Amino acid sequence: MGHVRLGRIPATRQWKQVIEYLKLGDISVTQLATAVADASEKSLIKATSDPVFLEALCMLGKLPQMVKEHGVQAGLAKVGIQVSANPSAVEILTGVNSAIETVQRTPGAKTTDLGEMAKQAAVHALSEAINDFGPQLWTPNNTDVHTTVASFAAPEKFGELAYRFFANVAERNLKYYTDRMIPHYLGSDRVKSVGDMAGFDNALGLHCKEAALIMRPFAKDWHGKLVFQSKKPIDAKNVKGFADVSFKKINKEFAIRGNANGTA
Amino acid sequence: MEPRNFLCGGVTVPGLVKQVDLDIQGTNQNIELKIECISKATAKNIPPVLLDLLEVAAYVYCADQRTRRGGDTLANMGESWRRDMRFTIPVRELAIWNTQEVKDALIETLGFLSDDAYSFDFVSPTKAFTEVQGYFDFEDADFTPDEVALFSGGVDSFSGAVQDLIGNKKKMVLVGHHSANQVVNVQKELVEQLRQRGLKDEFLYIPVTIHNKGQQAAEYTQRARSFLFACLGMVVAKTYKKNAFTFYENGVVGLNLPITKDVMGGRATRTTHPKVIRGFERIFSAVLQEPITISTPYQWDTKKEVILKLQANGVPELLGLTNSCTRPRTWIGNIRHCGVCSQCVDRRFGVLAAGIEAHDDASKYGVDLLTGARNDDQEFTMGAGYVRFAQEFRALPKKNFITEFPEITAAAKHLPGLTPDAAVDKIYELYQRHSGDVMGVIQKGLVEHQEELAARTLPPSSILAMNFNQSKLEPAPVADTMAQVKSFMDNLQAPVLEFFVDEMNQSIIFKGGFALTGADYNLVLALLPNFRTGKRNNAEIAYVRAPDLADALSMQEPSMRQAIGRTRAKVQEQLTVDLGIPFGPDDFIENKDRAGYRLAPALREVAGVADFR
Repeated sequence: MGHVRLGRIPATRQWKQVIEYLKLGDISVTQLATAVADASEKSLIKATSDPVFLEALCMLGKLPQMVKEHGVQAGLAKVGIQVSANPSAVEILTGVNSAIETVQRTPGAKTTDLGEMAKQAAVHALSEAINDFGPQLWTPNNTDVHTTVASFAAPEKFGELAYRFFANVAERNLKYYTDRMIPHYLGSDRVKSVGDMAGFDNALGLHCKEAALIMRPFAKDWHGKLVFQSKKPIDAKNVKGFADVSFKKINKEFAIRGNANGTA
Repeated sequence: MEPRNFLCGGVTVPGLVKQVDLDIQGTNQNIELKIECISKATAKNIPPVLLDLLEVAAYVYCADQRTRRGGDTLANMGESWRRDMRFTIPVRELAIWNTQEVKDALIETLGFLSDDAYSFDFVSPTKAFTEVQGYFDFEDADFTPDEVALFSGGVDSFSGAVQDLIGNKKKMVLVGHHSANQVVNVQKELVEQLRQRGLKDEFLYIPVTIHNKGQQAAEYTQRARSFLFACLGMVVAKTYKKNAFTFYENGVVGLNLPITKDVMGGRATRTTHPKVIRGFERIFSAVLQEPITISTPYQWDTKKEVILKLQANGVPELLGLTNSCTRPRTWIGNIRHCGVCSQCVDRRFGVLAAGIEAHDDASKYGVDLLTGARNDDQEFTMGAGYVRFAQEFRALPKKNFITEFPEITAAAKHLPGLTPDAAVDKIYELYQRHSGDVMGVIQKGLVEHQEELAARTLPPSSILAMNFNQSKLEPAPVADTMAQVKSFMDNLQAPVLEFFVDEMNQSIIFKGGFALTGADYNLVLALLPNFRTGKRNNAEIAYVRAPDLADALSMQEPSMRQAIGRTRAKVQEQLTVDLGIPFGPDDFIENKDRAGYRLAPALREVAGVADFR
């Protein structure tokens, strides 16, 4: 019981290149992350074909809108989340997880690890945004949480949510590979100890957050245009187009950062 | 992944492709199920619907082993890991099995347990069912228990059995399922030791055998195994007219938060995850149409705390006979624990944290926990990942728990008697204690082995060596760097779409270098005079009627409309990425019913590429 199954790194030319970087040891996190991003480039793009990914992103767009328009309990019910009359942040986040999970378990859904990443990233983004945008001078009560969630219906706040979501998906995607690889190079010049692994992880996370910053204004404008100007719904079709472009932008940002550091 | 159809118990479905036949009875039997030591008298308590349950569980368990999940490289983002499992199963109590509640409970619980998608079609049988005695080796065992518990032979289940038998003075039935001979020997040895300690009449051990007959398993992960295990517990509990049974497993393993980021979903087992346990209760309650309870008394204990129960009950010397290793095939000679699988690592950390390693012979481990070389990639990753998880969790503030481990939200509403908020707090505290146990073992080990570490005589791939080395880290970013960058980006002016008409090279050039040429260029050129006139006179930009535009381009009108669609799409796709401008259909070339086409008024023409802002 309690078994954990680990993965191995694919034996392709690009991944061998990444491993060479690790052996050399004297390259920066940005350079290494760029090499990993190159090797896994196509994987992020695949996310937009995963129904769980699309559901997770739709959820971030629709949930605040519904809460703002219908109140917290009725609003959440409209996105498939059943909660008590006065739910806490944890109860709402638990509901988000369950609602996305339902899509994941649909026969024929053809979902991948990217769907699982997106599910976790959606909960991460909402949790982090509730923490950051709730009242800071006192401990928020449930009403404060509901107000904060409803505020994410504004384009600017959706930009925040989307940024956190995409940054987290990108980070999970990179770590999906590096976590299989980095421990094996413990003791090299690059990663000398378990403590260095944590340092590397933090640097990788920051790298993804910086690369995804481009999403803040882009997501804000997209949301404003779709919801307020065109009066169109936040659905899988519209979200897919948005996500396709978003990943291209993030990959481009990774490439720009890599060029600036002399990798690509 | 393509659906996999399992036709069970001799049923047929015309036209179904990619089917696998499974049968637990009759001439085509390819699954063997045997439950020992049940008395004939108690077996009469088993209702037909429970025999159905037993068969459903056996089919799911064997189908799980016959369907591959893809390789270790997780090709195509692990698309083969999650399978689409479709069952057609004959049952005795069709009306019960076809209720929506039973099907929903099965699909949701098994889906989460094994990380697959399931569907069930329950049908009438095409042949007679096996009678109850077909699955039992009866013994004249007259026994009246207080409780029924599942018994694997691992340290958690043995500690639980000892606590209930000795500490709580209960009469117990212990149900032991095994799929490897080495495991049944572990169970039997532990049972024998309990008998020798005067507990012979206090418990009944019921071993259960189930396996694919005449076929090797294609998949070894066995994520659906605990459903079978739970069903066996339910069936045995019911033979003693009980509506409850017990799973002994510590809470850390039950929740099993991922130790690395490639361990996604069910790649970390969910055997006794609270959502799974509540799901089993839901399935059994719906099938039996009465409330069923599964208790997990060690939900809030760490491994160390569970191990200490052996000492508290006066039998710490039996610790060394327990076994949780997932690789019994690696046992050679005296070696009884591989020392590198997640269970062995977890067990040994727990033993050392509890401080009763004198009762757990280190020489029986293939690799020493702290000082042994971990040469295989995955062995190394497991050791490093386990320690790193504990290090990082120790430093994690409570308010960031869900943000860093969103997986925990799957458990929060499934812990009886606790609100989701209280459950998350309690889980956080459990993991803090666990992480403290692990780091305590590391710290003690660093002191004990300081001379070897200083002399660098420990293998570099040992857990202690990988914690001892130090090097410079990436410089930490300035605290408010992100806030400054965000503020800068938010204050940037909204981008405006600028273009330059390069008549010499016959192209329309946009900022970033993207250019329209050929037919696209001609289209823009045809719309340009009205655009320039409107801008020059600060007036409305006039539309060009569709027939006039078609004439100007020497095209038929339908072809022209298609060409405009292609140009718009081209600009939209490229410039959205290059410039970060979310495009609508009318943002470059506007179209108005009956009025025609024009270049969008918000566009700005510049005199040369040097003028791009």
